[in-house]
Amino acid sequence: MIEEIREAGYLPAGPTCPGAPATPCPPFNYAFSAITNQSATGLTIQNDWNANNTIQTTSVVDPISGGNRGEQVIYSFADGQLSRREMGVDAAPVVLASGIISLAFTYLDQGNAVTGTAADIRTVTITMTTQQSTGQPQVTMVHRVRLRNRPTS
Amino acid sequence: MMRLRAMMCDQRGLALPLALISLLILTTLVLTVLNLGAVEPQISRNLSDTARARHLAEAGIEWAFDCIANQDLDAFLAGPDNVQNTADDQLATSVAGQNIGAQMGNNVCVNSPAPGALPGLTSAMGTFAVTIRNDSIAAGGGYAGDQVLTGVPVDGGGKFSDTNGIVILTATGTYGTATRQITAVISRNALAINAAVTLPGFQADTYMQTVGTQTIDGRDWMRADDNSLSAPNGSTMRLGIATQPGTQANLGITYEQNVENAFDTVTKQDTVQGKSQVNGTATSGFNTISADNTMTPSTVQSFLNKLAANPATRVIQSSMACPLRLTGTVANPNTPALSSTGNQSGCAGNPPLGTNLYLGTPTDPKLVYFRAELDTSSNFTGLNITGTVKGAGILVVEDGDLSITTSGAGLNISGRDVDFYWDGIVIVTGRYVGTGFRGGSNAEIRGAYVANETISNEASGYFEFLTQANTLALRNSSQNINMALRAAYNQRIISWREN
Repeated sequence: MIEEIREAGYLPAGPTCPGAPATPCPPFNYAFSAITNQSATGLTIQNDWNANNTIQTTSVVDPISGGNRGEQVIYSFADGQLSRREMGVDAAPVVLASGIISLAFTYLDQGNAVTGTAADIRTVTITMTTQQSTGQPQVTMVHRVRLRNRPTS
Repeated sequence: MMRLRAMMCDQRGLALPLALISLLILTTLVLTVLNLGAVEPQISRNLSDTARARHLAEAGIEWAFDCIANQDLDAFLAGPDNVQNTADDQLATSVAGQNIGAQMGNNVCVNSPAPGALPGLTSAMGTFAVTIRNDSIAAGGGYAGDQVLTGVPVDGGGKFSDTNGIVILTATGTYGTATRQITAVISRNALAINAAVTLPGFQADTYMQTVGTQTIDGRDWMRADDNSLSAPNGSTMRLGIATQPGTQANLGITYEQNVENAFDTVTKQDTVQGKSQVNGTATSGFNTISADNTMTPSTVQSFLNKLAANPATRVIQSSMACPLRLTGTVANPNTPALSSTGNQSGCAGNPPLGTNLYLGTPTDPKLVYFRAELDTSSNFTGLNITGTVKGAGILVVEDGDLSITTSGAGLNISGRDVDFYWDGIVIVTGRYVGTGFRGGSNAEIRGAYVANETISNEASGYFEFLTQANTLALRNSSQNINMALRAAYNQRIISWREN
């Protein structure tokens, strides 16, 4: 999940600046947000793997691996389970892990302030608490992931 | 019958097999538990090693990004031996059958450790390696072509010649048995410089007041070429002055004619030298003032947009409430102080007034980017440079005038006494803009000067290029243009993926 969040927003065409010079850049317009449908318990990662400047919900061919990939990957947490669904590839969410006590996503902009705007997300913080079994100690892990394909400016 | 029953009831000799079976079961249980105890640490170890390998691969990308800065990209494409089609430029790429990756070493880049172990660590702590290739793989063999990686058409320069400023880096990090790979596309922005002075915009109003020594020279000056040379040592000659083709709407004459009208005496015409628009040889006068569409308002704007998109770019805002000024001294011309020519209560920007801005040197060029405020009266000076100032790289003033009022001629550079000297490119661009080399100043730009007016309805009497300077030298220099365009500020990672 962390690797996929790190790569989110892959966009070979790059951003545009349609208003210039009347509206100088930055900020720039990206064809899509790297992270969308973001909430405390889930998010959707978007990548333009086939470089057509749009996000498709059907699978596309990755020009590097040659394999089919989904341009949207949905992560969600509910009832102690973390699920992943790659659109166009998975018919239904696939449970990745269970026994999770809590999991929360936080979204930060380029100034490291919490943001609710998908287009402004540059960093995602994941806080997860797990427990092997009842009576065992709980372990909390925090991971902060900067989106490599959405440089700050 | 009795004997058979006796044998069936006889339990003698059973204890040993039962004990052995129990022992076997217990041993299996113990071994299973022990095995689980060994596997779980191995899983953790693998996770840790993979994370370390990825960090090493990221280090490789960072290393390569720094390594190619300030360098000719072609110098890397044949590998460290710089001999084409040898083993070090035939490494595998992510495209099957396309072994055009070139190993990267530290033989080209400056002050950079070689790939391998991280500085201060042994290879036991992990290693990284990096390959570089041009984005030249066309569609074929099931591969759609490198445009799917870069977002732009495949570079037609082939394996060894970069023509679009884009290369593909692949870094491999290795720690223990774990290996991770990262591919990053690096883009360097291009700006086609065609003259010592280029006026590519929608107005090319020029005012030439010859009050002292002046030269506009499209011949190719090396950085070290002394002012006294009769012919510079560079080999890429450009026009003296280039304009946009066509007719300037508000005047009804061509842009070229508009510029030439400013050189209304033989003395003024003789101050312009460069490549002839007729036959490409060295000439002077009107033959080296020419319409040329190599550079256009849109190519300038595109270049600036990409520059501004670089995360490392800092755009300094000048406004009518806080018009900015740089004041340098003979002792510290590269670090002038930032101040305001107006009411300083309107200044709340970053950096704060009083900051000494570092303007760079040829070995450490800088992008100095000022953005002003739209002023339809054309009277707003977005940046005033005064005192004694020197820099290297790219100086941009957008949406405001650049006024050079330096004085004193306290610096002797390449045999000239100057008070404003820039190695590289000076760009004034946007709406209602221009540059004034004002009376008393002694200026030299060795590289290129660009004044790009992006509107066509500015009132007459406001000039894109005005000189009243005491002395002025605007000289083409391929060496400095390359230096300015190859710097780290002009390259960025446009896409990044873990393979």
